[in-house]
Amino acid sequence: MNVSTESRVARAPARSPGRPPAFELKGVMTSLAVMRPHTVDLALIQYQLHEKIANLPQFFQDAPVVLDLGAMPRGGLELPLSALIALLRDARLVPVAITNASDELRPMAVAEGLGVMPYRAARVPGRAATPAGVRAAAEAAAAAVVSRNNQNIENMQAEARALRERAQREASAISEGQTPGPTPGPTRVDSGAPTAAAGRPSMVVRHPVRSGQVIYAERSDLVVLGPVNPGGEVLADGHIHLYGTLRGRAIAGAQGYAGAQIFCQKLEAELVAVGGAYVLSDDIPADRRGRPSQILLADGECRIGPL
Amino acid sequence: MSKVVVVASGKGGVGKTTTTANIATGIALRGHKTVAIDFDVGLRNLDLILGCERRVVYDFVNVLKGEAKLNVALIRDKRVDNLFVLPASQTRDKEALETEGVGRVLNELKAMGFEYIICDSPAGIEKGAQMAMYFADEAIVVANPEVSSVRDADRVLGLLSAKTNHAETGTAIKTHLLLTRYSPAMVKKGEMLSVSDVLELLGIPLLGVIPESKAVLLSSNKGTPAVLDETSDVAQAYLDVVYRFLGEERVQRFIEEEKRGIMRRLFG
Repeated sequence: MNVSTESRVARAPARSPGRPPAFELKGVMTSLAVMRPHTVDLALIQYQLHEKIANLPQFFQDAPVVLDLGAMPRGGLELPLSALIALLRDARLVPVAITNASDELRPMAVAEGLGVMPYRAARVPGRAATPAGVRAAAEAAAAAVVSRNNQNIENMQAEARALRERAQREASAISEGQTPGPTPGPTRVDSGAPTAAAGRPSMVVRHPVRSGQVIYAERSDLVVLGPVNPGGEVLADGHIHLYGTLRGRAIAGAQGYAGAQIFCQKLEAELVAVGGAYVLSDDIPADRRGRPSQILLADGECRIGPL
Repeated sequence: MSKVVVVASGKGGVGKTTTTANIATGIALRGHKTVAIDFDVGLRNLDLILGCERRVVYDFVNVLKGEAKLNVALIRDKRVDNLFVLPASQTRDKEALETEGVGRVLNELKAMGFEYIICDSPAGIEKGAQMAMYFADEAIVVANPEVSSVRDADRVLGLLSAKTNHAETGTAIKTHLLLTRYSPAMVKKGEMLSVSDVLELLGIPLLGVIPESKAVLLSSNKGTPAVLDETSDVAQAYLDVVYRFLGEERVQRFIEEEKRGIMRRLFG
């Protein structure tokens, strides 16, 4: 078996036209735990890490972790990187790469067997990638609409640019029929918790979501059987399925998962958002208003289509 | 078996106190021992609407602070047997209300044999309103047929399903919708939300519709709840509400525009 494989590989260059490719090399967006240290105090990091792991041990065991040093002064130069990596390995985590780090840390990371990831601007907490960020963006957008200040909206759209780039890639992956099976959890930003939502059941809400209520399905899909009333808000890191009228706000892919979708029976929303891009009530096409609709991210924009 | 009922709305000026006064009076008229409690500490109104403002000596806050005995603070209505009022303090603020004390007073009222304890909630969703709803078994949510009132009612329904003793122990509060200041003529012209618009949004059973009427203003100023003058349409509407609340069937009225007869058109 081994022999034949080797020989096939050996012959491949000569006969490569017409042969099935031996592998695919793709840039895929996958869920990774990102750890963003805020301190050089390794003892404190260790203590809090163990607390977190104790909460959800099955998520953390052998989980790949990216070290994001963007929150540290001078790109993390003061951080004892090797000791931190050893600490993570002791905790049965698998550090795989560093990002947002000073260039001077690069040789050390490589020597530790880690990769170096390019700068990840959209990972700064408070941007559109977090539910709070989406909310803030939406509120700011509402204010902008009131003042008819289109510049603000453009600025906010720019904020979500990194997300949209991902969106394009994932949207094309989905159109190729590679619909993700269990909803992949979006990349966690602050908590450092791992993100794979594999097997995490959907959250089901059987009552109406009333004005002032916020329902957040963290790392899962959300199903709401009742209506979402004006002033009510539903968020999910995965898809959102709404069997009643949507009159409030719905935010799918709240942590940035661009393959997320919103499905609703009757669309009268104040706002819908997917993966950081949003559409306000006034911009919902007239022919979709009050109709069964699905909302998804395509070409970096929030699109509304018939269900 | 006592029932604690909160009358709430979120928005101010929609008719909570009027509703509390009329429903409490109506239930007492049916022979049930009833007390109406004013939770609007600092903005005492219920005693005015019920016409007992000159007989207020002690109030709810005095009882909560142990400065007066409950049976001394309770005011017995002179017109209707079985009806009592526990007025709010005009000089304190809502911080005087706290869960433990309110629960103690409610239990004491139950022990005194009150069948219905009607809590008149202040407007808003802050402490006073939360205290009024916390121990409720049932809620009458009052709304006007107008978008901001309906949205506030929706907000209050959300709080009723989350921030009450029932919710915290995993049981549900029974909620009723009362639509006040309803004008079928305006609905017909498209200037007012219709009953079905409001019901579609709020999704709770309709207890009744109270028509817009000058009689409400007059009865408030006189301190005589409308139900005591059975001739007005408001009185009829509130009596229907009371019967429905007590479990009797009544056909919904005042939803359609009334046909004016030839005599009323000539002389009305």
